[in-house]
Amino acid sequence: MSQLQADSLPQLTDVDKILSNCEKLKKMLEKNEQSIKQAALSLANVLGDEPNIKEIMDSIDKSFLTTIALEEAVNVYGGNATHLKQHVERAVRSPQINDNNNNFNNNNNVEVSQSLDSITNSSNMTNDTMNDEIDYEDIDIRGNLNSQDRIGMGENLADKYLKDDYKKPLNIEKQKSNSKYKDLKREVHSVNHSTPLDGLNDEDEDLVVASQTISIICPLSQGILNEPVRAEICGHVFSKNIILQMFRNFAQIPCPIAGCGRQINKNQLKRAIDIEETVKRELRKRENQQRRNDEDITEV
Amino acid sequence: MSLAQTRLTEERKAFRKDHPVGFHARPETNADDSLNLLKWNCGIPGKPGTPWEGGIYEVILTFKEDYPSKPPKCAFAKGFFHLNVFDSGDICLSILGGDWKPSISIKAILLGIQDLLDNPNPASPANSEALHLWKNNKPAYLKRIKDQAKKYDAQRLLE
Repeated sequence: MSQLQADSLPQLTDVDKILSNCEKLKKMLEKNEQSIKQAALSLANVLGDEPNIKEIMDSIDKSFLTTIALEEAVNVYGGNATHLKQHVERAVRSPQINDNNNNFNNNNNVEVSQSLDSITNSSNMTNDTMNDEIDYEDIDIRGNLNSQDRIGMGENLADKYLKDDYKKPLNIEKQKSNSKYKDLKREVHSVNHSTPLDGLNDEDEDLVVASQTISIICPLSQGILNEPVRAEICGHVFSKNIILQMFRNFAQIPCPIAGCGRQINKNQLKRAIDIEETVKRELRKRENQQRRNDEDITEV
Repeated sequence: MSLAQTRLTEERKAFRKDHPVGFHARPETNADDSLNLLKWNCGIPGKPGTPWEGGIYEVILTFKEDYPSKPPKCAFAKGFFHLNVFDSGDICLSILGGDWKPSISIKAILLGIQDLLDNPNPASPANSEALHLWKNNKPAYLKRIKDQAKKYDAQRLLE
């Protein structure tokens, strides 16, 4: 490998640094997401469904959307960096770099560079929370890539950078269709409403169900479902800790429901958010009923 | 509390709240008045319109800590006359063996056993005398069943 080619590649240690920053960012964003959700739920719980909290809710929504948009950006960015790392590794290993490969690398660099830019943007938007913890050396890497690309691909590439409007602001509107956002809205809604929030649950849009009895009882413990999980293959729902006990040391067991011959896999159990809400709603209903009954008694 | 204990506690609640007419099922009481959830004394009525009618047949369900992964052992009294019941009283029924599923409730077990009474399965006989009579001498078979029904009815009156 000639000196020039070696120089035109980013250093592996630098890419690793980018990747580790990605991980840090991701964790922070997840934490952020959780605390925003928590805040929204407590707010709804304390203040109820009053119209005057709409403004606060809207800004909470916005923060949440921004957070998930950032998360997406970080994921893209991390993906590109991983991609880049693979190519760098391959290039370092093989003594001959053909033109194609070089080309690919450079294309990749463009993507990474763009992602880096969007991260820079994003970071600026959430400066207050993240400034302290991020190792900003990755930004330097971007500068590096820019100059090296010029060496590798000539000026047209540099022009491309300058012309392209890759410094777009985050598109948070798009995130409204994100399932995480839908979950948030659904959960907040269910704090003060006994009927599910329509319109956001687009999964069953084509399905018209006239009436349906949903059991909130775990078929294994026969108690009320706790952290319901659904076996993807047959749709049966169980309490998480109970079904996990049934697996013991096996990765796969026959579905414990009578009449169901499917084999269920431990790693195909998915959190059943819909049932979770039904359970919450039903318990709240019962609690209210109980409270009302108690009040009646005191009145007498 | 183990899964077996949790489940049996819920089964008890459910059965007390709602159970089919004529059936009873309750955990055994220990000497100190506490409940032994692992052993249930149950009664299954013979279906009306069958030779089993009138009798309430006592069944003991014995659970182990592997319940509900494994079915309980279900047994009539020793010497119970039925094509699919061993001399020991143990019941030979598919859902209590290979076809067991953890979602099967105690109520469903008892209903399953009630159904077995008048629908014996000659493919897996457990009592050769009953099988012989059932195949070759239906009147004698029916008489045995009816006598047994009277006996279990009389027992109930004595209690």
